[in-house]
Amino acid sequence: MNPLEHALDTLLCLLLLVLAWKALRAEHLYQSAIFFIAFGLGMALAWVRLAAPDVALAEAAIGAGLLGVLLLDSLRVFSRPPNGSGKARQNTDPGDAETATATTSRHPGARATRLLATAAAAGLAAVLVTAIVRIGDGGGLTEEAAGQLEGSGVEHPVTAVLLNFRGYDTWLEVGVLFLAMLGIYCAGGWVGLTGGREPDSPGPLLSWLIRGLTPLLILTAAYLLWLGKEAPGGAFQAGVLIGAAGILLRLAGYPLTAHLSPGMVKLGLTLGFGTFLVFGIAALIPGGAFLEYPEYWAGEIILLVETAAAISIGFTVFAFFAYLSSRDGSPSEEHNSKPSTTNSD
Amino acid sequence: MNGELTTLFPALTVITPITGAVVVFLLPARLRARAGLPAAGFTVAAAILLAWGVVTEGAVRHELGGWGAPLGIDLHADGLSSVFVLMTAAIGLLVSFYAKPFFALAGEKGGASELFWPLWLFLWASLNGLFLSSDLFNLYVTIEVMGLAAVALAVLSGRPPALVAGLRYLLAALGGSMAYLMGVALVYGEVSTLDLGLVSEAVEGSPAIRVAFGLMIAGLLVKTAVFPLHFWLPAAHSSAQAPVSAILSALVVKASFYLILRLWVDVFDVAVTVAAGQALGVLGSAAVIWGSYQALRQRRLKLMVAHSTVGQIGYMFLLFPLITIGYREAADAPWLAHAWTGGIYQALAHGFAKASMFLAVGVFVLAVGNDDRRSIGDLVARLPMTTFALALAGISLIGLPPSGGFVAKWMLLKATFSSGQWWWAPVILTGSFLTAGYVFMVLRQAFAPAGKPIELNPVPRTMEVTALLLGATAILIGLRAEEVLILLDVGAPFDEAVEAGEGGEP
Repeated sequence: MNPLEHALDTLLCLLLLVLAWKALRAEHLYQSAIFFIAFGLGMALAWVRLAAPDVALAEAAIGAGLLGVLLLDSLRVFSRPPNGSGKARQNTDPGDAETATATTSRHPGARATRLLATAAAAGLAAVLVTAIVRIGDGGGLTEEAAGQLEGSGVEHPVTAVLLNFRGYDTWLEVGVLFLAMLGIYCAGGWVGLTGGREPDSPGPLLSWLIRGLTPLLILTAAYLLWLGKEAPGGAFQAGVLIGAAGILLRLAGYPLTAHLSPGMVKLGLTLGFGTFLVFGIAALIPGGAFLEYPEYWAGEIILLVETAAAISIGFTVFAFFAYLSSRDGSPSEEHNSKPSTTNSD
Repeated sequence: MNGELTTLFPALTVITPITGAVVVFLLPARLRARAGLPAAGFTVAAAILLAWGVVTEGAVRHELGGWGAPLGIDLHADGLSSVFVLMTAAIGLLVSFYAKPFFALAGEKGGASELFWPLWLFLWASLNGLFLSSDLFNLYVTIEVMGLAAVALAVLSGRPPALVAGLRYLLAALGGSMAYLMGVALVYGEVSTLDLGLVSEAVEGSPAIRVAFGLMIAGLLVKTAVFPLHFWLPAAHSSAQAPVSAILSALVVKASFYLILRLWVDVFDVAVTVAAGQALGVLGSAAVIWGSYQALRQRRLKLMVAHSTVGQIGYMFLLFPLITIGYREAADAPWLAHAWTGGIYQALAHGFAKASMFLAVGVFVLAVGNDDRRSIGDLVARLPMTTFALALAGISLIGLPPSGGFVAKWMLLKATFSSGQWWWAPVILTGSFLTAGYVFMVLRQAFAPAGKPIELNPVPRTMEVTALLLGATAILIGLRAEEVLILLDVGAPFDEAVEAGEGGEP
């Protein structure tokens, strides 16, 4: 490793620490969220430096992108005055209300809690560091995976691990996304995706930009999906891009959810998980194990499963946002200072 | 039985409920409850097949994807996993029967109750997956699935107290699984494999492994709600709806206990120290005293039952100090099998008793309209079957003969004395007295004449019957210890198994 790379890595480490500290200590929750997004991007860079481009892509898409959107959207809800009634809004300056509710809490005892948390985190970090420096470079199962790559149906070892060798894990992880959406429904009530408010248009320029970006996003998603066979990429990254396209279109005022019947929502949420399951069970019929793909068809099956999973992941990610932003404190409400003018559509 | 067929059973116990979950979710709402029960039935059938396979042919292994460890993930069923899968099946089936009329009534009041079936079946699959998984990372995934499904179920009513408790539950659960995951990463870095069997062959008591093991256990202790990490449990379990409370208290906390036990005995036995065992025993003892004492103080019945869970979980952790000394120094020490069986019996007996108790209290709440201890006067005459269920469950929790709880506590007590670790004995007895205190306090109220005549809401018969069946099972497993022991014996870590029948008679 040359000195330049050393310097780069040191800088990146420092940057990550500073960003994490800033995210924790920022006066305003908005600042915290922005620092957190920056931290996610820094982490993505760190993964690149660790020669893990697959993780870097996922970190950038999910850790910085999707989480950032959800955090900022949640903050819109929190920063409205409690009760959200027109009276409260008129009596208080919106800026005041925002600072009152959206800054990090300063209640008594917070200091002690913070000290305790800091001490615990420092202790954990110390223990982890001492443990990690003692671990030799075992190499993991890399060689094993490379040795079996031929029978996996794909050429990229990470995809082989995720979709074939340890497909069971990935299948359950797709289930985790499905469950997360069900959990949101439990907390907020099951209404499909319709019934909430549709957002207003954010103005001609942004609409135009988003209209141009959407096809590009879809195309990039397809490319990433296809690329997963032989290079970093795959269902999760592609899915998040599809979800991002949906989120942007919604922000641009397209009534995407208005035409979705509950049945279609259900199908969208379960398509990826269900496809996985169907192929898994089909493998049992000729006497194989669950999720055992015949070597000859493995590549095609993986592509099918990944496509279905990407669509489902994209749909679920979009559903998170669409559901949450159509409940309280939708973007449209934020723009209008007077409650009487909201949601005329 | 065909050997090749048997290897399918572990996979079937996971696939069946998960397929049920997806199918039920896709069905229109009015068909959902009707499809939920058959799915539960098929899952039970798969569990019975698995247990039968394990009894007749010994431990069963299924190589998912056909790769086999270390590259792939294996499901491995031995006696211990089969016992937990069977317990889940028995409790799960009865709770399902209870849930159908319960949510038919609750659905009229709104909320997301139509999502109960998909979530519950998914949770069931994750429990089975956890009991059968033979892969450290896959275990993390099953823990995640289980945690998310459990939290979603806990907030099913959508009411603010449930949401607050549910969020705290979610944060605690996530913190716990993060700690576990850090441990897994360290282990993989050290030994380059994730399969439980291969890890157990490869690990030495190196510092990294000790740190990893400590992190994993700490994370799982949060999820099992062992004192003082139980802070999230009472609110989350008591604010959930009755069938969900039963599932959370009887089954979900047992899953992380099972995993602690599995890692402690089968995988990281070289990293285990006597002091660590004693420390778990101390936490368990504190939980027994604190949880039971808190239960005694509660006026709301659901909170009382939830605090009682904290206390009863404590008993299960008395197993660790008792097996840890013996396992390292004298693998054939006579008390090992007693402690082992006692701890697992406690998990079983508490599962049945606690499910019964939450369901019985659910019937009271439905009938009376609230769960205040003082408003259940005269219920012994008005709801005799449910009061009887509550009494049976209470008997097992206290540990009175001939219940399952008695077998558990008796075996633990025996192991305490024969191992010379007499200091756990007062804890076991004090816990029983405190438990007797709150159980009899509720029964006294149920027997007391009501202050003024009250109008009871009608309660579906099925709900009363299932609560009673669960309570009766908590007693009956004390009488039929042999069958459980035969199953538990397959692949047991301690050769000197308890003589069949010995547990049943003092």
